[in-house]
Parts: sequence; structure tokens; C-alpha cells
Amino acid sequence: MNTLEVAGLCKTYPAFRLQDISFSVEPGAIMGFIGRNGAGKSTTLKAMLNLVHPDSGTVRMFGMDFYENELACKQALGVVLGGVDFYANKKARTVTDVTRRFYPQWEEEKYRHYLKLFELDEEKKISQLSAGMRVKYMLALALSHNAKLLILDEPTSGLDPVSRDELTALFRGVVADGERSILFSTHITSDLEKCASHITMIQNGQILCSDTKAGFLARYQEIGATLEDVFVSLERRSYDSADFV
Amino acid sequence: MTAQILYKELRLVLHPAALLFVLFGVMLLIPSYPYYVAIFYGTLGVFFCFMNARENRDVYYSAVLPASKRAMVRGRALFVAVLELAQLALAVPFAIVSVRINPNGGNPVGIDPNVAFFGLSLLLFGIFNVVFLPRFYRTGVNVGRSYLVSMIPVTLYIVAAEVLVHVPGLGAYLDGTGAAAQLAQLPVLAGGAVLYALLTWAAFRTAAARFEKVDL
Repeated sequence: MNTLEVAGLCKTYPAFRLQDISFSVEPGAIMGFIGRNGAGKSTTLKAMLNLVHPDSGTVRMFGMDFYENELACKQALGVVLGGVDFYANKKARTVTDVTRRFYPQWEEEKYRHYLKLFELDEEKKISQLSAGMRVKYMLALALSHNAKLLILDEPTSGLDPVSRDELTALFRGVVADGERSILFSTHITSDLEKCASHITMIQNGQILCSDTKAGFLARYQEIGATLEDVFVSLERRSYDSADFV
Repeated sequence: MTAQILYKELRLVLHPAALLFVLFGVMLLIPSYPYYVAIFYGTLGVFFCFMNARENRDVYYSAVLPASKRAMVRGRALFVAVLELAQLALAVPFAIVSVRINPNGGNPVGIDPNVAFFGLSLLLFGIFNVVFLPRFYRTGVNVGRSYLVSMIPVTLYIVAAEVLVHVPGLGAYLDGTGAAAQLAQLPVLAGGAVLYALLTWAAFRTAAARFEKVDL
């Protein structure tokens, strides 16, 4: 059973259309969801989570219809949308104290373990944590309520290379048990080289390809040897000197 | 789930200014003063909390928690009611002291802080809730505009409530501070409480239905 199955997701905005988005994530997989800025990555994630109401399509998570079992699905879900910038002036301890009450499965011991592992200081305000630390904090929260699927919207954007390397290693560790999965959107292809097992590429609101990383690279081997080359080749627009008047 | 959400509101959404305004019942001690102003500050406290939630992107924090949008709106509406009712409850001792120490005897510029005043204040909050909450949850974003819109009926209501005190007959009934007069005003308090509950419930229902349709 796939952890996540998205099928035929559509959403029309006045100036943008998300068309027939379908892909799936297996247990133990790290799915990299790539696309340019504005390609529809965040909208897809929001539509999947019912934050944006899709016009059509289905989302199955942990074998359940997500829209009909939203609360049960969210119990096993860890989500970080667009950076961790909520309640920046509150201490991490306060945010944790509020968050853990929503999860009957919360394991305080695990939370303490991850705080120590990530060297997180709970007494710090969210705004005092570095961008990398904030992602780690969210991971600690999600892992402490035993989330089986982590959905992260550009978790590595804006981080320095060392933090990004650390996080990608961490992601691999998270899915190593073969049960948890990660779906993360990014436009930083080098992070996907390091940790993704699967790639889904979105272009102008449509899925271009969804495959294992090896399958993806094999399919586009004629236009590039690395994800970065393929991504850039597929997306680049060229301008003529005549365009500049 | 409502308890968890209410806890979230108290720990994260509650703005310090709102706590201060909850204590503004102390303004009932001001001699010869339009006491609805003290109550009006409570709505400003609610405004501060909604601003606080919006600026801290509460909606994205909350949206991924295992609770429905409807439950989130219910929690917020309850939180607003807690603030409003706490403000009125904490104002009671000041009202009792006020009528005893006012150097002018009664309140020449408006209604006395009596039982009828509390009933009419409950209705004030009810009117605020039924306009502000549904207007805000149309988008989940426009705090200032929703508050300004809600201030129109609230201001009209305050003016009307103060005018009532000067209507012959009705004024004498609403404005007394003696024990017998205040006992006689109990139906106004009960009526205010019932209308407050109905309006706040209607506010939640409409707000929740509207927020359900919003794309975040």
C-alpha cells in the first residue's frame, strides 16, 4: 500500500491552472517534488491537504480517502508549509506545549530525544532559531507524534550548504525504517541528488514526469547527466538580443 | 478538540493588550462617564488578538493540526466569548463600588453601572460578534476592515442605548441603582444574556460556513 496516492487533482485559478496532478509515494521513499518558482508546487501541496479546495481529484493517504478522513490522516502527518515562521515571538517550549495536546500519540520521551539529538534549546523563541534549526524543530514535533508522512514545502531553501547537507542526511535517516516517507518540494536539485529516491517534476501546473530518480535520469539522459542539467534544460527559456529594446 | 483549540488561543493568540482591556471594568469607577466606552474596549481586545493571530500566520499553523476548520472557528468564537464574559464579570465589583462613591450621586452623562447596563452590554458584545466574526471569516485575513464594519452597528447601538435612558418612563426603569430598581432590571440582564448567546452562536455558524469555503 502506498503511503500517498494523488490522482487527477485539478484546480483552476483566474491566472493559473493545476491540471490532472497524479503521483504516489511509497513507504520509505523520499519524493522530491521539483519545479520552478510558480510551477504549482505549493498549490499542489495545499490542494492535497484541503487547504485549497481542488475542483476534482482524489488523495489517498495511509489507505484512506484524505478528504473524508482528514483528521485521522493529519494525526499521522507532519507538515511544514513555506518555512516555519508562525509564532516567531513565542518560545519553542510554548509552541510544543500547545501542539502536543492535539496528538494522543505524542511521545514526550521521543521529543526529548530529538531535542537532544538536534541540540535544540526549547527556551529559545522561534525567531531566535536559525532557519535550519526551525526545520529540525518541526521534524522533532512530527517525529514525536509518530508521523508516517512528512510533507515539507521547500525545507532547504535559504539554508547554507552545510545545513542543507545535514538536513538531507537527516531525511535519509528518518525514512530508513522503511515505514516513514517524505515528500518535499524544492528547486534545489543538488539536495535531491543527495537524498531523493523518487522525483516528481511539475511544469506550468502539470506533472511532467514522476518516477524513481534513476528512472527519471534515464528518461532524460540525452539532455543531461545530472538532475540539475535535466531540470535546467527542460525549463530554460532563451532570450534573443532582439528582445531587448 | 475544542479544549485543545481554546488552550491554543489562550497560549498563542491572546494578546497582552486584550488582557489589559479585560480589566477595563475598572473604568466604571470614573464618575459621570459613558460606561459603554469601558465595554467597547473589550472589542478592541478581540481586534488585537485577531491581528496577533494573523501576523503570526496562525492559520497555517492551525491548518495542519488534526482539527477541522469548523473546530478552529468554534475555538476562536469561544475564546472571544471567554474574553467578553471575563471582562463583564470582572466589571461587576467596580460597578457595585461605583454607585456608592460617585460624588454626583447617579451618572448624569449616561446609564448607571447597574443590572440593566450589564444586560445591554451583553447585547453590545452580541452585536459585535455577529458582525465581526462572519465578516472576518469571509477571508480569514481582513481584520481591520471587519472591525471597522462591526464598529458601525456597535456605535449606533451605544448611541441608541444611551438615548433610551433619557426616554421618559423607560429611562427611570433602566437608570436606577437602588436594590429594588436593580431587581426589577433582571429581565433586561436575562434578555441580554439570551440574545448574546443566540447572536454569538449565529456568528459562529455563519463564520464557520464561510471559512470552510476559503482557499488558504
